[in-house]
Amino acid sequence: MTRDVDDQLRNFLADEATRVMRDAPSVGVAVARLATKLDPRPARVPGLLPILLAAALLTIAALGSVLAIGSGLVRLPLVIDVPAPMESQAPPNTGPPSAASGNDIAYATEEGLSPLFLVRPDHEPQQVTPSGDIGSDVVCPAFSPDGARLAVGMPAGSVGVMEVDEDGRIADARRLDTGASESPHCVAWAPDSSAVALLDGSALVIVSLAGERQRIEGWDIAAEDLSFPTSYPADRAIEWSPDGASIAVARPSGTWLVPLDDTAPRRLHETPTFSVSWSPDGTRLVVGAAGPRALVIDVADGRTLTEMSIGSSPPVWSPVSDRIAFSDEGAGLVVVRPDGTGRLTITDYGYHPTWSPDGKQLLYLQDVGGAAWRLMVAASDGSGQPGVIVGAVAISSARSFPPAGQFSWRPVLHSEP
Amino acid sequence: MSLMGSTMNPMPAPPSELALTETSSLEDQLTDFFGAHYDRMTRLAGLICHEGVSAEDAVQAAMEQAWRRRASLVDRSRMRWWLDRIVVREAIRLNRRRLWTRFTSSPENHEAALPLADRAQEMTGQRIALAAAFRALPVEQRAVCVLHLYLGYSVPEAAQLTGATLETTRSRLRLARRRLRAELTEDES
Repeated sequence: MTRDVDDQLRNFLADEATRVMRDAPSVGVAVARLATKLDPRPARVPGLLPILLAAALLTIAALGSVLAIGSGLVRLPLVIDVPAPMESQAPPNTGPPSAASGNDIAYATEEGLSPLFLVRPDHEPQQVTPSGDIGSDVVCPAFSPDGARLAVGMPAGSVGVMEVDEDGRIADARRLDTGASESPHCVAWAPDSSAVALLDGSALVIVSLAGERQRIEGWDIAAEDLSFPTSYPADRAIEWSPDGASIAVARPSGTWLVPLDDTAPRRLHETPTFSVSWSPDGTRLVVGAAGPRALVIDVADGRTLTEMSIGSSPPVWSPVSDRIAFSDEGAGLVVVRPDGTGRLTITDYGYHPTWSPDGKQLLYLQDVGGAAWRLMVAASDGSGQPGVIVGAVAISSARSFPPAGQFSWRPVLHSEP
Repeated sequence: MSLMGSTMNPMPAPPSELALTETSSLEDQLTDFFGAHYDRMTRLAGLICHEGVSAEDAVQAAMEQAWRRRASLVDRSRMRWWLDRIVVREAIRLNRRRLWTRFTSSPENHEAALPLADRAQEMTGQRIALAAAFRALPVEQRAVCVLHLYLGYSVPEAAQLTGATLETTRSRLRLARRRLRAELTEDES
């Protein structure tokens, strides 16, 4: 009987495969899209002849396209490469009635290099990059703990650092040379806001705002990357300890603690992990592990204190209390105590939770259809109704929803008017 | 760039068939590989994806992932296997997001995502039942079925490709077969 089912299924899959190919674009189109996306080089200034030729070709192509589309001969391409906030059925920028913070929230719109926006409740999102200061898409915005700066990963492996004033205005953007590989990197700030750290492959790179660089490598154990995928750039995979003495790193080889004195890095736990988050007292870590599971680890001896099933979002520890937020297997947003008790469902549907600096609220994402998402906020004690920070942000068809590392909540509360 | 024709060759190729040499650059090899295996990758993603999730998106995202992570490819003779793993996981990831969307989207959207009736004229009754049952499988079970029964990977290989344990993979295959068998039996009766 099993053989019979298998045979029928094989035949069915073969037929379905043929149907799939009928609807697929050509390989040329796919490779061209890829090349367009992966080549961040600025356009060179062409000579006069190429300009004239290009103008003529564009004119002909435009006329041809109008005729072809009008006659139904050509389908418009699916890729829309200019994602931007747009209105949806949900009203934008309407914070919850209990909104406690007027802090800025930085977000990049898609997975990987994307436009960067800054928003605060009751204001329109402001595009920060690409701009005159930083002309490219970026990854992983991260506010410094003192709230004065915003760091972003840049296309050529450098880190952009911008000053942000109280009104959310950007000034004095500059690049930190990381000496890392030419891919965008996600950074973690030192608690005193004096430096950033990033993961370059299996090396940990620390760059001070003064430009001094330190590269710590040779500590990781080569892990067979077949059983545990890691996205790139690493997303919430490193975090500085609250006392600034060490950095926790999530790797396919396990969870590592890299001290910043001259002592050797230590593997705390051998389970492959993709994210780390410190408890406020610095005694424990909650890590996102293969499964996916959330493991609470004792930093002193690497013991697993608690193990919980989660969805694919990184679990995050409240910055002020013994509470951990994560998206569960059904994409419900929950908050629990570190021992797994006191489970509180904040909302039935939400992922990539980010705590507010005061621990009173959680920022999270919801899909809006298949090609857009919205930014939500809810009280972390489950009270009141969730509110919408940004109504809907469209993503292009060949891109993915932004991972958790594409969001950052500014740590400093603004003074009340 | 040489392109594979439309002839279907779903079985995994032995390393010697890949014609990869250490002399050409990894970028060139990867580009050629995209061209040669694009159809196969699209079929793989398309069979795993539920209706409403674009196989094209999954393949595009996988190609981007592969390109960005090409330095992690240690053994170039395993490029096909490596690429399949990325495609499978991208397809599963996109489908999970799709499922999350379905939890909260309107009933109209659910109906729009299930245009099976549109294709009913092409299929017999039992084939319709099989199609509906296969579509109703969780995406992880679909992936294991496609990898094992269509692409010919062994169950341990399918486990590695999907990032699941061997026991989980066996269990997914067993559950998928049980569900499909039940649907087919019900249709016959």
